[in-house]
Amino acid sequence: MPHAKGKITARELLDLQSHLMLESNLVGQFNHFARECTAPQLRQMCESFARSHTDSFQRLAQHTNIGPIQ
Amino acid sequence: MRSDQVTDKNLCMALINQLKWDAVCLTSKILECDDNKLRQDYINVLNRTFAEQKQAYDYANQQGWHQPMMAEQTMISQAQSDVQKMITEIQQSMMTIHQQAQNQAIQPPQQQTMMNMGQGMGAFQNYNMPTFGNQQQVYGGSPQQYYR
Repeated sequence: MPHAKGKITARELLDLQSHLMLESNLVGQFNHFARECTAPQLRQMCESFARSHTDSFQRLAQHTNIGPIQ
Repeated sequence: MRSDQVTDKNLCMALINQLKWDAVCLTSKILECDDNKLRQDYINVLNRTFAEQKQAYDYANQQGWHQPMMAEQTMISQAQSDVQKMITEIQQSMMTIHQQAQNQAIQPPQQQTMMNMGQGMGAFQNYNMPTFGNQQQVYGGSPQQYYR
């Protein structure tokens, strides 16, 4: 969903950008961990976390659908 | 196994640390948020991250990879003594406030008016000095009863 007021503060935008980058890195790392580990339970956990952080990324990315910056 | 080979233990510890860092970053963003919807979305992601970190931590614990160091009895006794001092300080601080309130309550209203006359700030000072007749009942009793 777009930003509620159609506006976003400069601080929120910078934070959002940096957090999206972090979530994106986490997805890459968790997928990498899933490929590297040997224990099936740990692999499943890494895969599940990678999916969950992909969802988080997508949810937060919707807030970049915004109007003018305050 | 080669010594530089990445083990499941290393991967699991790295996973836990990444999730911890994510939680720290999310918390600082929540605290800076103006928009309620964005804030709520961050909070939802944070709650999920807490659950994931716990899941990974429990797995590491189960595997014997993470053995938290237990506090020694001397450390516990020291902490208990420090907490007792803090409780005493809080009680003393609260008692001072209580006594100030009691002193203000027992001053006769006429005296307050005389004190405030010609000072220009009388109206503001009256906010600090309630003039209810039963003020002593409001502030009455021992402060100890509140802080047990």
